[in-house]
Amino acid sequence: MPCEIKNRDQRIDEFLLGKLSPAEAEAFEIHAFGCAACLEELRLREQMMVLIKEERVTAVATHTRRRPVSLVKSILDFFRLQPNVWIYAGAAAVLLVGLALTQLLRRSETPDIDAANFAELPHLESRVGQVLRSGEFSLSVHAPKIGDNFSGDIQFRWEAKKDGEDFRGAFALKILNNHEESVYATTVENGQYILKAKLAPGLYYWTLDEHGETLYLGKFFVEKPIE
Amino acid sequence: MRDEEQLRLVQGIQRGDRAAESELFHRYQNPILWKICRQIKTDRENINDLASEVYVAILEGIRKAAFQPEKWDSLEKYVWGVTNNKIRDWFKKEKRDRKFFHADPPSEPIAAAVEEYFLENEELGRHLRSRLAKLATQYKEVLELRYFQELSVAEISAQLGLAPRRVSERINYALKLLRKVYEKKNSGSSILGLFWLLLP
Repeated sequence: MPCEIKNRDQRIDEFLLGKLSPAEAEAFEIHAFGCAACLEELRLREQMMVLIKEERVTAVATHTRRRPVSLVKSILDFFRLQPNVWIYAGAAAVLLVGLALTQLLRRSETPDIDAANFAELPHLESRVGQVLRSGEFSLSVHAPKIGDNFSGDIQFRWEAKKDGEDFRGAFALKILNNHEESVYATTVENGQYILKAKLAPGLYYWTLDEHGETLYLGKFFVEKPIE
Repeated sequence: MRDEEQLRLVQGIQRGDRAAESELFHRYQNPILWKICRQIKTDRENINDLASEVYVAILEGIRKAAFQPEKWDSLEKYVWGVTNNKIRDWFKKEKRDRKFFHADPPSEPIAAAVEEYFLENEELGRHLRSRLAKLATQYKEVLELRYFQELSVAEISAQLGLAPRRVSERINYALKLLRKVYEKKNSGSSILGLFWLLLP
């Protein structure tokens, strides 16, 4: 039987991104129990989201190292494609490229420490450390502490209670840089997660979301220079 | 599912018709496993146990006339409700004694259905990984903005300087490219349906 849901693609996205209210999400799940087409699409998009997230984390981890190499490669590619034009300017160009390479390789050995990446966001700072939605939830965050500075793995740990009982359901853990760009997102159960991906030096805000609503906002630093 | 189909299935199960039980199993095995796997990250043994509990509860409910179409709106809602309750029970029991049901081992068709579900997921993952790697940058970019950064179409439109309609078209085309390679194998389910008939 063909699916009768209007704006089906949009509804599937809203469900997967946690944008539906609990009642709407329940109604859509029930629909998917009887609609093979929607269930298949849900499974496909869910897996795709996991793969995209994995890929983005790898991209973030290699970002600092990769940038100088790709610049060198593009310079070399340019020379290779147009050798006749540059043959007389070769000596001067080689000298310039040598200087540029020295600078770029030096940069690649040490991570970028850009003060702008540590600038605080005033509209988020006022909410850091607060449990933003209580209601049926109570939340104690044990790690990371506000303002912790990391250079390796980052451990996230919290205890959640729902209606007074331990809550072991899923929370969406999201990490934003100080440009409010999402750099990592995952789903966590049992209140513990260790992030092994390497983040670029900077200030990060992190949130715990449940059904699309943020419960908690925290912050930490990666490789913050000692002042 | 249309009402008359639900009634036929429910009445068949209440009469003890194994073919109707098999049809119910065949029809709902994937959504039940999808919901369990989505909500509980656990090992395959626990998934087997929980799926067995769900199937037994659904069949017992229907046999004892706990399922009444006028009360439940639809069979989907009933099956979803039983699955949801069993998942809640799992969390309660898991918290109490860190071990789920000490039930009999899962029946062969259920274990086979779980195995098939995981194999399908692995195959889907391989296909998607390969297609994502080959996807043109413009399509990958919109998928990342939509599903990783969780931006709306309007926000993506503003960021890329494209009309919202173009953004939607690009996302839909990217999904179509990913979907294209995935040929779902439905043949296994029908074989599992036959297994159900062999149960005591």
